Amino acid sequence: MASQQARIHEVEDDPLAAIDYCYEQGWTDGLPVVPPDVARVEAMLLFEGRPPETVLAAHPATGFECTVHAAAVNAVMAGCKPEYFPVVVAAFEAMNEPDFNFHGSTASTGGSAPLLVVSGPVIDDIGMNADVNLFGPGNRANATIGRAVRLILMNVFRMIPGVSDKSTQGNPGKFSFCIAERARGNPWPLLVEELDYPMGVSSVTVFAGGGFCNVENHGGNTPEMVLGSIADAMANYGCITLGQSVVVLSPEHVRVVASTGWSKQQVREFLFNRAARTVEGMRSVGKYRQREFDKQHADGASPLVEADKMHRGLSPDDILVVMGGGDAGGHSCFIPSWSRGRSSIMQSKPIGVCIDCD
Amino acid sequence: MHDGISFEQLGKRAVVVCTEPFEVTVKNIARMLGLPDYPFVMVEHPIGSRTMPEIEALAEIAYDQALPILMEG
Repeated sequence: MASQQARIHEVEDDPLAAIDYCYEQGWTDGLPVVPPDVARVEAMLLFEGRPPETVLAAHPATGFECTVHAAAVNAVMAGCKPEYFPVVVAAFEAMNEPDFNFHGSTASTGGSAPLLVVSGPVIDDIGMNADVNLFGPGNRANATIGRAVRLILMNVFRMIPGVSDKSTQGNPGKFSFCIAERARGNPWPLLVEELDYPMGVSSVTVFAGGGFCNVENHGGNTPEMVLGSIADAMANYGCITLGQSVVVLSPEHVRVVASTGWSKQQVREFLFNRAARTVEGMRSVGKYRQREFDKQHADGASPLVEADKMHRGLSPDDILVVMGGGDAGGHSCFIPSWSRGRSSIMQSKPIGVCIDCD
Repeated sequence: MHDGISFEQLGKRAVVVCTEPFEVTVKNIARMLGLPDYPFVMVEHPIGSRTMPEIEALAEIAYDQALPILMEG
């Protein structure tokens, strides 16, 4: 199926009337949008070097395609400034990777929302928030980049609630789910450095997130205490699957963990080992599946897998760990996966540059 | 639905089975793929939490609906 053709809609010269017109067309997420006037769309396009008709992503089930132009229109509607646009573009390039499975993750009853984790210098360049009130509200870049992703899913890929988006309950991240990794005071390599992108390049990582779980721990003063509470959240019966995980550690928790010399890899290994339930326990809630157990315990399994347990994920590499949030507060979070197995694997792309392109 | 129509386009007979809450979704996909009247089988929801005897009973219902779809060409 071809990309939707761009066309000009004539409305009376009144911003409020234009907002109402957008509502009437069904172009909103329920909140008012910025009417995508031509000048604003053209300003957005200046931040993408490729022709407007370039296809960024294609929907495997319906054949709908998202062009640079369609993405720009929706970025305007979301309230993005033009300099935010490369992040939106990179996010869709990541979601377009087959292993992300963006049809399944956006159509499913699971209520997934694409979580964007941005890392690198672009955060300061465009004024993203990696600090207090990380998941918002209050920062235009975080809020509108995440919102642009949702508007593109709804308006370009026609993921319409109740019709093609069958989320049983959805989650608040379906309005916007975009954060920045905090570099200030971070003792560990940044995500973009772990991805091994060249110096100065920024990245966006996209994860089909199934919600948000706050982990409160103000009393723990060792890595094992703090991370033990996070592992418990990861292993709760409602969330534990073979899926991947995102853990956003607050600076206060990071100070406890890193002050004793723990590396990020050690954190991942501890969390993987501890985020587990016994086979008997999994049976007791009807969530034990032999094939999943066999997959996790097959030859070549992580040495951290215990014989009588089901762990969350397949290995420590299935856990993305970043730091984010304000200085004060023993509040980290765990973002569960939409995928109960390997149906969606998080993907990363550089922002505004092409690395290893054809 | 997409898979079922893909099979048909490859010359293989297929029948799509969905549960009732997905009727609107299945019809939407069929319409987008250009076959709005593509027939399909519909059974009660849910599937995952049913016992094996219940699943077998649903399968019988699905079979009765599927047979004419597969036989009528």
